[in-house]
Amino acid sequence: MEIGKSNLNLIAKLASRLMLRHWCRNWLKLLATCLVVSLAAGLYIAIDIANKATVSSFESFTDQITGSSDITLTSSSGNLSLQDIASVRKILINSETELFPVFESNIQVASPNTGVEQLLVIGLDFYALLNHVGRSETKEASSKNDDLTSSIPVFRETMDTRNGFYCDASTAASNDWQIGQEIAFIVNSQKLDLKYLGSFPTNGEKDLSSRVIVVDARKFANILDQDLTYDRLELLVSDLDSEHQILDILSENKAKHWIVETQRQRKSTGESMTQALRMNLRALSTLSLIVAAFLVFQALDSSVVKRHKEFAILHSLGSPRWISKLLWLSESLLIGIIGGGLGIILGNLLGRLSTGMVSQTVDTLYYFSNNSGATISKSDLFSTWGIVIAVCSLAGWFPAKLASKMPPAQLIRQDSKQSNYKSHHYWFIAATSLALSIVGYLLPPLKSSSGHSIPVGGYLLVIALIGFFVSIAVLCLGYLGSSTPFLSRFDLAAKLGVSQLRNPVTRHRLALGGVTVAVGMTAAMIILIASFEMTVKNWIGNILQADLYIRSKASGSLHSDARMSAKTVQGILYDQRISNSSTIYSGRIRYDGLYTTLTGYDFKYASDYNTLSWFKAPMSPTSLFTPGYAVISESFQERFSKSVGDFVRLEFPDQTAEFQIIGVYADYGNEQGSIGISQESYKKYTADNGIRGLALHLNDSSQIEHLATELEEKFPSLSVVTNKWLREETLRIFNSVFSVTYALKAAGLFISVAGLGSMVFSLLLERFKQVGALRMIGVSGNMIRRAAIWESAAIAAFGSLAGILLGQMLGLVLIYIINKQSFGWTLQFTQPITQLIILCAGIILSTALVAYVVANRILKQPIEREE
Amino acid sequence: MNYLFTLIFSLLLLQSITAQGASPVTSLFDSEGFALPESGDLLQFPHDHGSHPAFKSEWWYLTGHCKTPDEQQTFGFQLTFFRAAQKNEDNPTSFDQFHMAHAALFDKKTKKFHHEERLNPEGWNAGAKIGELDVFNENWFLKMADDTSEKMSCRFSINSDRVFQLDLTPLKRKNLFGDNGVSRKGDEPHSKSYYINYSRLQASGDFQIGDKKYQVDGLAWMDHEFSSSQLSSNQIGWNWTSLILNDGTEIMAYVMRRDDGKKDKHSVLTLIKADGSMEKIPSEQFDWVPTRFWKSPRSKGTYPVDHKLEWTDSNGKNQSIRVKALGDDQELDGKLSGFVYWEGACYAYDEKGTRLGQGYTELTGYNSSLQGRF
Amino acid sequence: MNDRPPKDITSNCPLVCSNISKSYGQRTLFRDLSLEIKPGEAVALLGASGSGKSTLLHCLNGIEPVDEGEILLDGIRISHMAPSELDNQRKSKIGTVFQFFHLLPTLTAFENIELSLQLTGVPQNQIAPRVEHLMKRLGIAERSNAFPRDLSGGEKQRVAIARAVAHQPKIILADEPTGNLDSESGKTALNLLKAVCSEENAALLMVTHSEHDASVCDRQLVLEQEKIRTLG
Repeated sequence: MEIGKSNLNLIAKLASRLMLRHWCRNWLKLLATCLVVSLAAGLYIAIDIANKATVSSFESFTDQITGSSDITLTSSSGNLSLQDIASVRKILINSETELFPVFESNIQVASPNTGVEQLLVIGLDFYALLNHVGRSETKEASSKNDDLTSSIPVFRETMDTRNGFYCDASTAASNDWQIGQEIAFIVNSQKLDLKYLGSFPTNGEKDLSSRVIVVDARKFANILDQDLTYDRLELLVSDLDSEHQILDILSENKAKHWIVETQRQRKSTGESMTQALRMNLRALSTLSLIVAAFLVFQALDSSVVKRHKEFAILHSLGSPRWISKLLWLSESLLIGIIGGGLGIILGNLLGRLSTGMVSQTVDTLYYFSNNSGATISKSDLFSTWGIVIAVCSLAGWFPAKLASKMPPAQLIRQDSKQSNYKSHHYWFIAATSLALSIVGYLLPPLKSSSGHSIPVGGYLLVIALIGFFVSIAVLCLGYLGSSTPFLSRFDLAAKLGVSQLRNPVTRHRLALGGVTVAVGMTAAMIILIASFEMTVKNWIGNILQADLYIRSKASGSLHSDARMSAKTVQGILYDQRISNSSTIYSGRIRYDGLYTTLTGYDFKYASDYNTLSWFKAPMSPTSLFTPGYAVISESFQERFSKSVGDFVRLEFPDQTAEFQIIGVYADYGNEQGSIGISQESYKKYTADNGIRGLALHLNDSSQIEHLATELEEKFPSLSVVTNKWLREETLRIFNSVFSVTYALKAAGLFISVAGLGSMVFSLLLERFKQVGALRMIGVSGNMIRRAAIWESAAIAAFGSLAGILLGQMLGLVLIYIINKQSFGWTLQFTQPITQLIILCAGIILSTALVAYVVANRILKQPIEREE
Repeated sequence: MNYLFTLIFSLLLLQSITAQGASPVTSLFDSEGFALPESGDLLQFPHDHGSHPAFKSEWWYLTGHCKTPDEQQTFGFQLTFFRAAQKNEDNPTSFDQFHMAHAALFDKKTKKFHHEERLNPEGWNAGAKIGELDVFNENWFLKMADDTSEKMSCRFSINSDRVFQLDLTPLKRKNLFGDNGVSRKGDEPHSKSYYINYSRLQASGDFQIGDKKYQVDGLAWMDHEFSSSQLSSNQIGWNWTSLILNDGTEIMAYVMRRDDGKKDKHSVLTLIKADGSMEKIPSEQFDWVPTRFWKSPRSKGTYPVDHKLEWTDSNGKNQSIRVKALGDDQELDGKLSGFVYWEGACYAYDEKGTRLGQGYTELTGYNSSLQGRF
Repeated sequence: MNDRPPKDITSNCPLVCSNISKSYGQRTLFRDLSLEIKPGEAVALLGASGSGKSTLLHCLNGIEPVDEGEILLDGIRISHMAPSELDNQRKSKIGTVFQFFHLLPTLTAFENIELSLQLTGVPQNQIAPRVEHLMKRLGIAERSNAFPRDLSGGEKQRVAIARAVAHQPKIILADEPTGNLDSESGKTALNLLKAVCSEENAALLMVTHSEHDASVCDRQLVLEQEKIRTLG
């Protein structure tokens, strides 16, 4: 007890006199380290928030109105008919489960005030909702024993408006809509006027998501003069029933084309759509945490080395070594706590930005996402904080452990600039990494619930390659120092700067590692994106051969279901200037429980113009026209493990149809995969006559712009674009999809440059007396600045070179392993030399600038007197 | 010329209404085009148990009392399915059908009244078949299981808390009130309805509250009426009562209330004897005397919740029955439809206070006039 | 009492300071101090610890400014010179020997010595012979490729001496050159320093607290109570 108490006193005294005083004196360095950690933690949290928002935005709109549904029923092909809904009603008539049919569609504001044109229209059965609200209010009043203000009178007053819609106040404000005003919208190929009724009355204080309008489904179908169908039926299971019971009933009575999913399964379906995207984002954000860990390790290592003498003296005086370790741990813990804490604040602030960027990608590729964002739960925040603290603790633990192992005398004698780590450590890491990379290469992918493969081997290979290249680079760092005599010929300052690398310390190595990793990952992404861009460009060149492309203005994204009627298309095609045309039919279907696309191809057109890029072409081109045959995209092949010769069975509302696969084509617009059948078969089985798009060839290409203008005037609800515009737009979408990746890349590079700056600062500070001596022997301030620039630029250049080599390898892995296994796409490897050169030059120049600034700061301090 | 025009117009309407499945076939229509009841032996069964969409209003009304075998749970219940036709906005010659339904439960032990209202357009969530009794509103339904025995089954719940599933077996043949089922309510030509009734039904089945389930047993009364504007222009509502007496007889009485406060002459009290034969007591020979009132704190309507029926029977003897509500607040608030009325479980007593039987009383038009609604 | 040389030989002196004063806050280190070092002269500056000897050395080197007075380095006034010009003057006309040697740890002995030649722009083909000569003279020729961590204290100081004289400065400023050496090594280093200075015709101003070390110099000054006086 006495011993324990005295140790506590000792720890307290040492902590306050050694650690606390040190932190107060070096608060700037501590703060800088914490800020870098907070940036990394903030990015990690921001991506977490964005990922959660992505997942929660999948069909969360009706949750805001009816509450979270327990079971969802959809059709494997197309929509649910009224007959389907009525059947479910009948099947469940002896239960208390409530039914809410929902349809969703893209809708476009015809004359937007703001830049926001695309909205989502949700169609509900307002009476089903009315009855639900009535019950809910009665229950609530009964439980609170109070007469609460009912929202029903307000709802009743407006819900029967023939062409009414509700939306949140912010959407109305941004478009300057007043209650009662009629607004022009475009849906499919029709223009219609809808009356703004105000906020949704039954929501109380909770407003709808922005960019969403709500209508009564029946009335809306009436206005559009089309049959009423629904995207899904949401079931709220009451307390008197059990979900299990309802699922059993549905399962016994379900029609073949119904897909019944619990909330968890539905959420998982939504998650699966964006799984690849979210995993990649998570990988990138984790990378920033790893790079930050490098910095922390580096900062703490330099502290350990710098303050060896203090602790050597303590050990000489008999202080237990575990106390020294504990004190070091407290420093790394402090960095983790402060950095992690600041990271939480930063992460929440960045979360909005990241959510917006990720939403943009999701909007474009997968589904209309709720941009109101998600918040991160307290437990997630604390667990992230915990991760950051653990990473920082780990970063500090090893140097502290090594330092505490050394005997005092040696510590005192040890030059503070010596490294703790010997070359055999790095050889071990290199050898292990090489072994792991072989394992990673050979490891097959795991199949996920989304049907996509998770390239675990690929990820392992990436980590192993990073480990290998970094350790080899570090081992070769000494050779860089040997270039001193050569470089001195050009600038004497190089002798002072580069010679430091003859005996590199851990900080040099860590800075080199950070640059190598950051440049490597960035280079790999540059290569991947360039390869993707080249592949997509070539693919687009093949599929886009028409002069004009026409679709509904409400089609704003790849997942949009906006259509044109056959009548509208006929009205376009009569024009004599048109020499050829092709229509595009497609719709989302479920196969094996997963979303994919069914496309009705005009195979004659495709054959005439060779628009389909084949990986495995059909044996006989005429077989494309034969009913019962289908072609699939590469992604479909990969996702559903199907190949030529296999059969695919699809459930339609009225029948089941089986198709034999006869070919595999390229489709880079859709990672969910697609299956192509003839248009006749498509119309026959889906009863969907809505045309997604129309392609036109003109007799005279000089007429393209004229015809485009005329068609837009004649059909104001249609978007008419030229081939050139569509190609550019496709690439614009492509770039917007990668916007988050670019942001994370930039952050990674920033952190690595910051790391280099930190290295220069701590090294120069450590060599402060040496700097003073150099000044005294006549070395000018300019030369000292240049020496610092040489030292950092040398590491940056060497790291960039190693990074480029690493990037090449990682690029190959990303393209041929990770991408191929994740999405099933074959990409054409492309080497964007200019971008890579710019990357390296950027790193070197920014490092030089940072070194200049740091050196300048050091030089302003007065020279120490030895007295 | 006018006659020709009326004939052509009627024929055209007939064609469109027939297309909607109107039966009994009628040649009478009101100015809006809704069918009107026509005297004569026109009702056919089981067909006319079903829906009559050409008529403006229709209801299938069920009330009763039941209890668990140990009498720990005893209830009065009401289940009513309404159908209302409205002219279609875009096509005035066709009608849109709306289905309203009310379910109410009076717990005799706790004296608590629970009710729920539903309102749905005809479609996947509500409907009534033509030609057979099969009416539903969400997960409430009433249907005839067997045309021969005329056994029926129903299911209803209140706020998803309390669920009843009952089988209804007629203990007497059905009654057609009025003149072969055409029940006149007022002087005006349209002031009548088709009125089909089962005055005594055995009701047995299940009652569930929470995770507890009980068997219940009791007696019920069922009405099926359809009409178009059965209220005359000077009528504002009605008092109606149905009593199932312990001696095997039943009584149905209604007073059509006029806007001058008086009882309309078409008010009627009907005695249904044990053998099923009916004796009709005209308005001038019976009185409905309110004996106690209750004012609703919500609607501010003042309802005569207790009353006394006095009549002179065919033997010239004065008879009376006191009807007392089992609870005052049995008002249906009509928050979805705006239709507010009082429908309460009651007991019947003689002057000495001996309980003679059970029943239900319906009081309408006390919060606002029903003119134009029915 | 100040040691003021006759005016007619002032212009030849490598270092002349007139009425220089320096204070740190409330504390005055020296006031109204005048000093002159003749060409080739070896002068020792004694004083108690904390008397301001090293500070005086820094002022004479131009590293620290004086509050008042004037310093002439080889006839050129450096006391209020611009930093870049001061660097030029310092690197060509002054050589410095430190108590803790201050060799660059990542340069070999040879490279440390050649640095001062490179700084003054001596052509590359002339550097090697000069360095080799000095290393031989100081008895460290075989340690040419050794890094400072591999040298003994005495060897390090000899490298430092070689670096200080390599570019033939007018004056060598030595701050406690034997302070970090044992007595034997210190004696050897001191003798070498004086000899090489004499051979290179460089004046020497050596700060020391050892009277024994001071005795090898031609003149001994002592800094006390803000003034300088000659000993003996």
